[in-house]
Amino acid sequence: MKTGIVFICCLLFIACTSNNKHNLSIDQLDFSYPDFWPQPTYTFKGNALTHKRIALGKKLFFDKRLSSDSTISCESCHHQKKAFSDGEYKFSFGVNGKQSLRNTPALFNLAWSKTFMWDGGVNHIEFQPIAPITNPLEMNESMEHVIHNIATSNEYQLLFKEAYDTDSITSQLVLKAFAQFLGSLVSYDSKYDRIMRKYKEYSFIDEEAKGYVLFKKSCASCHTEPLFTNHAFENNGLSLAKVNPDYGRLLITKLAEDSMKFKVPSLRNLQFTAPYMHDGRFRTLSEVIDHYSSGIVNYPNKSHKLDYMPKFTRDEKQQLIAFLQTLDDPDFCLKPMR
Amino acid sequence: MLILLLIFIHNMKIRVKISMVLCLAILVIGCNKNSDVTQVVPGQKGEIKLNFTNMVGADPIILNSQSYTNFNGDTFYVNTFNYYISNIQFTRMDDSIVREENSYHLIEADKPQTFSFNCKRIPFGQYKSITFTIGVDSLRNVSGAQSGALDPVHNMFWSWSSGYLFTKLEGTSPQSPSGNIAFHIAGFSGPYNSLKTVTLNFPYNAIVSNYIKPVVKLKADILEMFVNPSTIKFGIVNNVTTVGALAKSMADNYADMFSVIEIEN
Repeated sequence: MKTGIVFICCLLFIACTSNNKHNLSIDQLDFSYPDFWPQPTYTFKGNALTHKRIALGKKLFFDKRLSSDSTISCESCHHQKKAFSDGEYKFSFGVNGKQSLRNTPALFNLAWSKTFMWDGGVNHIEFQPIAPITNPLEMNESMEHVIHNIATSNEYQLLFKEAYDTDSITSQLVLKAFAQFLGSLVSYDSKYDRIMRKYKEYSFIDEEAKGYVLFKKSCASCHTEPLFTNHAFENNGLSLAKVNPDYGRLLITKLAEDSMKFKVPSLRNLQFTAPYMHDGRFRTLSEVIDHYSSGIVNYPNKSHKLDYMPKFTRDEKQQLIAFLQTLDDPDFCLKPMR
Repeated sequence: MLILLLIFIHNMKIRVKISMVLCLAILVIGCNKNSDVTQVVPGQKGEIKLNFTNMVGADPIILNSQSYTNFNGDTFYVNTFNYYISNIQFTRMDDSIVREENSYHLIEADKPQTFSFNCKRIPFGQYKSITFTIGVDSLRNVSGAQSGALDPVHNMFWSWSSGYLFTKLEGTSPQSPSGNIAFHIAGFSGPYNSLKTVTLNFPYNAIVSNYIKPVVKLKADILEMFVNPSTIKFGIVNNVTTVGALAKSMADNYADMFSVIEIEN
């Protein structure tokens, strides 16, 4: 008799679990990216990608209640139409009109990043949201308070129940939901990508092709294809600002060799992400190329990859910019998100 | 030769029979929830309870209101004193080692409920020492969002330079120009790795058995953070809140701040 009951319970248990799996599999989606791209760093292991989880992460991204006075959401400084950069201010505004100390980075292809922030201080995509939430210049909140607010919200309780099948909302789950949205921001539909993926009707025009040659010769060792970053930290010879001098990676590692080093940013979507550099000092790509042509300061730890930087002619500058424009992905920035 | 072979085959058959019987036995034991656990002798497991007392020299710590003096003669008050104890392992008489699973514990001086915890699934036997890390190992520092003791809501996590604080001491001191002292010690890699692993011998064995859940009583002495090998003077060093040489030297200091008071069997 007992055995019988146990048997039926087992069957019920199996039935229940398989039912859950079934629900997950309907909602689950593959993390897709072009064949010629490398494997991502974040593989959504233990946090399987689903539509509901991405939607939950997106809701968190747009939620102003994550800031101390409920005026700032992540989206306040990371606009989709600007490839999730600020795209307007050198230094974005946080709560109480406070300004951040570095230019807001664009958000895309983050699943391939090994570190986050200009100085690489954040070492995991799931840790990333804690930084802006708790920064007094940005959202100025405590994780304890933010998680309490989310965990006691009926709306979020329902969404977490649907997405993660749990009644207990912890910071771990909130951060995993964030990682779903942030990790799924993949930009791979630029003209460059379409050419590399051998779309029939796509090819570089003459100017772009010449720019590509110049790019491969002078830029690609740091801005490595196909993500257009080597994810490394480099001192690119930008003069140290007189007001608020920023020593970059040194602040994280405390190693002299890391002085004024910043993470090499991707060159995708440049049309949308001006101003450029960690402090937004250049408004145009022309100014950026001028820096590499003639503005590099020879700091002792300046990247050796810049030792033989050519002086680009006016034509070459145009060709380089023409090529860089093939890395823009308008659909990523302008198509409505799910 | 042939006889030997026959005996071998015979033994094989017996072995197969024995293993079949064993399998059945295991199945029966596995299914029978009413089996008396005390009867199964090998592989039995119990618990060791750890109890931490936070001290300043000879005095138990009183937060906020009690003034203390360090070896340098600086006076100070303590408002916050937190630390991680992780990767706990116990050494048996024969030098074999038993590790606590998922071993991350946060002790917070303002939360008495964090002073004691049970290390579960410790095999019955006699143990002569404990080894643990002060802080959180490098792997957990780079593995993304964690829960429990490692939940960042405990404010023992740096958002701007990912990683857990190993120890956190905050308070006030008239010798500090700002009036405040803050020591946030972290750093899990590179030249400023501040992880410390300590082994403490027990005065006598902790015995884990059916009848005994031993209690290992430990103390942490805050004064050790400020002396040996580096003397910390609050007039000069009063705010250590990044990785670096200072954090590392303070970790070197506090590596010997724990000691075993007694074992209760």
